[in-house]
Amino acid sequence: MKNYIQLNLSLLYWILIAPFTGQFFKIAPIFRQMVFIGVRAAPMVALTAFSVGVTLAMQAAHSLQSLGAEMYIPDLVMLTLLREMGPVLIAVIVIGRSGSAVAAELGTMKVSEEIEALEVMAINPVQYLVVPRFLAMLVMLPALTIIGNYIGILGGWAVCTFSLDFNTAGYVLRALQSADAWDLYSGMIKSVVFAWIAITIACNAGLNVEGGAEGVGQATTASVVQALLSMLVMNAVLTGIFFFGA
Amino acid sequence: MQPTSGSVKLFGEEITTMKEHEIIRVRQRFGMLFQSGALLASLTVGENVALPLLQHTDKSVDEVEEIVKQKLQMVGLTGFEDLKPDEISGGMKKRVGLARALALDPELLFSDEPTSGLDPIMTAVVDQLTLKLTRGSHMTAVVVSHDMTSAFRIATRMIMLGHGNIVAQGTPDEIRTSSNPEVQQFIKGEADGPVPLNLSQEEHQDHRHVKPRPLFGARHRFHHKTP
Repeated sequence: MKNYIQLNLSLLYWILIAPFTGQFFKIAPIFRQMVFIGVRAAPMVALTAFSVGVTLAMQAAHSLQSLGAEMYIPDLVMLTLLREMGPVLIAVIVIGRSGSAVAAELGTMKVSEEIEALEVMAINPVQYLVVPRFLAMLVMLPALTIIGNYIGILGGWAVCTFSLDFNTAGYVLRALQSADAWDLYSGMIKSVVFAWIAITIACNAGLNVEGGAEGVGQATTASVVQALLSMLVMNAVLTGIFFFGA
Repeated sequence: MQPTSGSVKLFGEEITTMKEHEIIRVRQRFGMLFQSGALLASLTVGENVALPLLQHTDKSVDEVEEIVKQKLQMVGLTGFEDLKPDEISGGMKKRVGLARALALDPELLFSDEPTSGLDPIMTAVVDQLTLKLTRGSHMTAVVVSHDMTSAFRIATRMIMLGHGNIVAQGTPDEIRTSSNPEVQQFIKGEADGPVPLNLSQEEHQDHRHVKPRPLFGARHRFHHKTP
């Protein structure tokens, strides 16, 4: 826990304070990490989101039809995706795929003395390794969430037009009517917070690996479990604040 | 890593109590060669050598490339710039590590076993390079080595460590003619002598905190059950 707080503080130092003392972080590594962390995860995110959209629409159809309220299916798909399922499920995918990769990569660097070598060369490991991954994750997770929301809504549309009595215009109008901008923004805020949790836990686990290959494996597993749990608890807290508070 | 006690002075400055930004300044003045090379596996050989230059100097990419070529040539690895560390042998990794340690033309070079894992010819090349740098361009090299041939070839002053203390120190000639039987056993590489072969845990200072435990633990497969 002490390590984790220290990592967060030094991250904030290197991003917010160090640039004003002339030590600006390099831009190119951020884009390289954005490709690793974000772009390569896009197909998985798309498939997940489409399946979730389809599932939501089918479940909604089943329950709402018995009440004679099929017209609310787009509302349900849209709101569930924007507020909850979009940010949460896409964070799950990214933690499982990119978070574990980061933890394993940094852990391997730790056990093969690469981190020590950086320190001896007067290169701060947080600045050189963690900052680009952190900023990449902070940009890419919300971006993936937007893509995921869109594809999920497309999944709902597929069910509504091909097996229920909706036409495309009706689905789109109904969906847009139900959601306001805050539904999108709340999901975006969540996904920024999830990105922070996911990448700091992964980097912290990687940088503190001890005990060779076995240690790398254990740290990777622990980082995925911890990130998932923290993310889900944080989701409950944020939903409470955004939609249940005042 | 924070020391538990004692004092370490480098370039006349106490480094154990230094702040992060002060120690960065000191670290740019020396190079360190790790026993394993400790190259960054995600970068190519050339990028590894270029790393300190890109991080700590304002040199242009062309200048950096020129220096990288020159340093790699010094360690006999011309044309290896674009290979990844896992595509080259252990000895080559170590020579790349040396090129990287020398990239910033340091005043001081720490070498951890620079010649272990190298063939005799390459050992001589690395020794000559160390000699050229120390005698020619006024660099100081601190070399940790078990390789006595190499040590006597490059050293101006030698220290033998044992039991966490200095056993002997002096010029190569003084060490060669030392009357200390431990020193003589070590430099001649003899199996019999005053240095014990089997250290018990109490004697082995480095691992004092490890509790002794049976080799196979309690779930030993061949454990005899008494009826």
